[in-house]
Amino acid sequence: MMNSIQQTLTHSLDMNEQTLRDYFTKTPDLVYCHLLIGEPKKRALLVYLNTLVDKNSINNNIIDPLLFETKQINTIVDIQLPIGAKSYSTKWEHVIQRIFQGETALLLDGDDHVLLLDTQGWPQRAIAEPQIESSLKGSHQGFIETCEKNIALIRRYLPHQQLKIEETTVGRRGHTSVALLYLEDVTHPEVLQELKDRIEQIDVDTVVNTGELMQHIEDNPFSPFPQFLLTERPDAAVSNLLQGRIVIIVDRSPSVMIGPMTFITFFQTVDDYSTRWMIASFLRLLRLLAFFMAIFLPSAYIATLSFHYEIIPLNLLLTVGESRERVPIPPLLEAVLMELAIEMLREAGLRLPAPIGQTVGIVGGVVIGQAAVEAGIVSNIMVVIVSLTAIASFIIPNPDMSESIRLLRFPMMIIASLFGLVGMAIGLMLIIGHLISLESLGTPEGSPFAPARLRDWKDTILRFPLWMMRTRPLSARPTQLTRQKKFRK
Amino acid sequence: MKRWTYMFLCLFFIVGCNAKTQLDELTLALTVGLDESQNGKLLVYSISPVFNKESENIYEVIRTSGVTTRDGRSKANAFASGKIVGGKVQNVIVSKTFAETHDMFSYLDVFYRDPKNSITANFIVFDGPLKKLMYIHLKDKPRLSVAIRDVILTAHTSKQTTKANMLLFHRLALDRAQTPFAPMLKVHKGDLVAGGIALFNEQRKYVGSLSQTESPYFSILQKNIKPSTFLTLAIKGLTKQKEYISISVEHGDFSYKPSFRNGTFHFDAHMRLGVVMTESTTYIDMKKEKKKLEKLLAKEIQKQLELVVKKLQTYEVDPIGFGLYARAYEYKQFQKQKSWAKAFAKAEINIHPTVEIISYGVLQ
Repeated sequence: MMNSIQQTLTHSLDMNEQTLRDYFTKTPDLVYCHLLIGEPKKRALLVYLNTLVDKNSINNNIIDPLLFETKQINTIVDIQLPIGAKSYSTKWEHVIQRIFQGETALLLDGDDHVLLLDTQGWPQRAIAEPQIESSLKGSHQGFIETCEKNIALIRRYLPHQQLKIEETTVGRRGHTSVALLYLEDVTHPEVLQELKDRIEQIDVDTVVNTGELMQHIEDNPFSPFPQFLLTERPDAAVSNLLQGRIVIIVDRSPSVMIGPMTFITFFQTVDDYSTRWMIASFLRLLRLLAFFMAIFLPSAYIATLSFHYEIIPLNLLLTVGESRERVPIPPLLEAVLMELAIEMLREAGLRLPAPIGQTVGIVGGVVIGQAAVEAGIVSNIMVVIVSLTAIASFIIPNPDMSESIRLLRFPMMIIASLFGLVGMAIGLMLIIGHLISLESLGTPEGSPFAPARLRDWKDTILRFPLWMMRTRPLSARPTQLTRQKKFRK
Repeated sequence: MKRWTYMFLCLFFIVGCNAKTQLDELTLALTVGLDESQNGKLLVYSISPVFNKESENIYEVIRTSGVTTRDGRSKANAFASGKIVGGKVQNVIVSKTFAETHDMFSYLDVFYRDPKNSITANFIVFDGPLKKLMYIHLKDKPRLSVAIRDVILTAHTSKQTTKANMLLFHRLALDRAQTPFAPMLKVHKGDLVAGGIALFNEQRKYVGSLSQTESPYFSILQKNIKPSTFLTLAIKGLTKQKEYISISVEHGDFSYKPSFRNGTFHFDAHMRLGVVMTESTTYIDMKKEKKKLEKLLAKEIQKQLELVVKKLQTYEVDPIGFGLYARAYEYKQFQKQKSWAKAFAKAEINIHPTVEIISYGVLQ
């Protein structure tokens, strides 16, 4: 499209305006503001997209000084305006792209240079508390949809010259700006280069969200497990930056992406580090237990009822027998039905506005609760198991990981109904085998368990006291290991 | 290679399903009973829970006669509402008369041979015809199988009887140095009562039993005191008349020393028992008379223990396992014995208990 118009500007203002008008057809929000400036009067043209600029800034900082300019203006360089960020260009492509980003172009008659002024001001939301990852003790500021603001939030935590930011754009039409943040003296250059290469190779119209970018660059797209962490929390991002990981901020998306990650980090929260270590360790054990429960509880029910009634203690067996007596369907179908019901409830509640969402919860609770049991469709025990499984999957702090686990439950149920506990063992082995072969940006996702790095276990299943964690974890291959000195015994 | 993997995976999923044992389609035999009918036929009882709320009974009893235990069960499948399985058997009960006349192993073989059967089931001897137990009507009790199990376990904890699962019975029966034993169960005035210990000889046949009052002493000889063994002893000597004193034995140190002299085995069984006095029918000044009381208690305990041992010797059985000590310390002589039970019957056993009162209660 750029080929149809000229590559560079001309000295004639009228011709330049015509070029613009040819290019921006059916763009009612583009404003052409003709001005006569300087002494003697000289024709100038101010062009901006009405919807993307800060109008106060244009009126006060550009038009007002220009109207009262008394100097003689020969070239565009003579114009002095109270705006900090400005640049000159002669290339149309550059000018047009900047206009789309909310900058204001000032053209002067008889000059082939354009003055580009930073007057960006699009609609944006105030910084608010993160919705998905709420925290008890962490900060209540979450990322928003503007890249600069997000960088600002991180800079507030790390005012250090080693925090480097590299900006690039992704997408032919969207020109989404993507910023990579990392600590130069900690992050391994190979990992960084790998990430940069992958982003460079993306050739799409645009990336609307961070999640899209993540899918374009992740190592194994056929894995159910996430390989990058998406977070809304600046404190989480900073804590990962300090471990030598790279933070990727995508403009227009409120969640930032962090990589390379390890499997166990999806079970950790920022709150873990601000609570006392025993409590944090207990919570981590709880989450790991929840992980296994969420995957294996329904399948264990199916396996024991279809194959291994012997392993149920007698008293429980009698209770289960009584409860199963009226149920006309086999355990697998019973479990799948209930699991699907609860997944539907969850999805329904998620998309509905809050007042109706509550109704769904109540109706669903009644349906999958006592009513289904009294009608004799499912057993009491199954309701207990389904609820426990649902709660267990909600305990996992990372929504991506939680969703992966909820999905894995279904193949596990099928394999348990075919092969019983043997099938479950095979399923577990497949999951573990897959996990330890998984990579995130070329670093092993199973670290520090596989490859085993005992020193890093301090911050995995248990969270050791902070003063004992003196080195950064090796999983992100940091080039500088020391995190803190030994200052306490 | 990849294609083969996928093909293998597909075939892999075709397998399975035929090993399924759906809980709903099973009749769980929780108790198996063996008895003999009047004309000498084997009767096999099996009790299984019924989960259907519409049926009146919460368990069903199936009685069949057969040549062997498994034969009886196969026939029972014709009655049962689901396939009968023995994976959760809690009790295996034989009647006393049946056990007296038959070698137990030929009838219990199926439990040991077929791995689908549970060998942790309690082995119980029933005093009387099994019919009486199987068709008992217990109003205020759970399912019969559970009730039997619970009665035995409770009686075992309070040392009124003992406990022997199928595995233990098997081990004891095969060990040359020991003979098997089992708890006894009877029906008294329409109630289940567990008490006493059935004794089996080396041919796995029932030969006699210890009474309920002898059971705690049997436990002490077995060094099985925990959690605590309650004894009520009649002693004379503190005052003019007979006094009853209840004690609970809390812990004990044992040492059984075997030796072989003049063609017989000798055992010196020393035991130090730490007891708590829980009851006394008379006033005793403990400060003055503690030592004396300890001696009297020890003497009475010694008397009772010797009675139990005597009884075992007359039956020619060694359920306590004196033979284990003989084999360990006098191996050559032990090996020379054709039958350890016979040698045990002739052995001289001296029991020397000492009692230490560690507490006499919160009174005084």
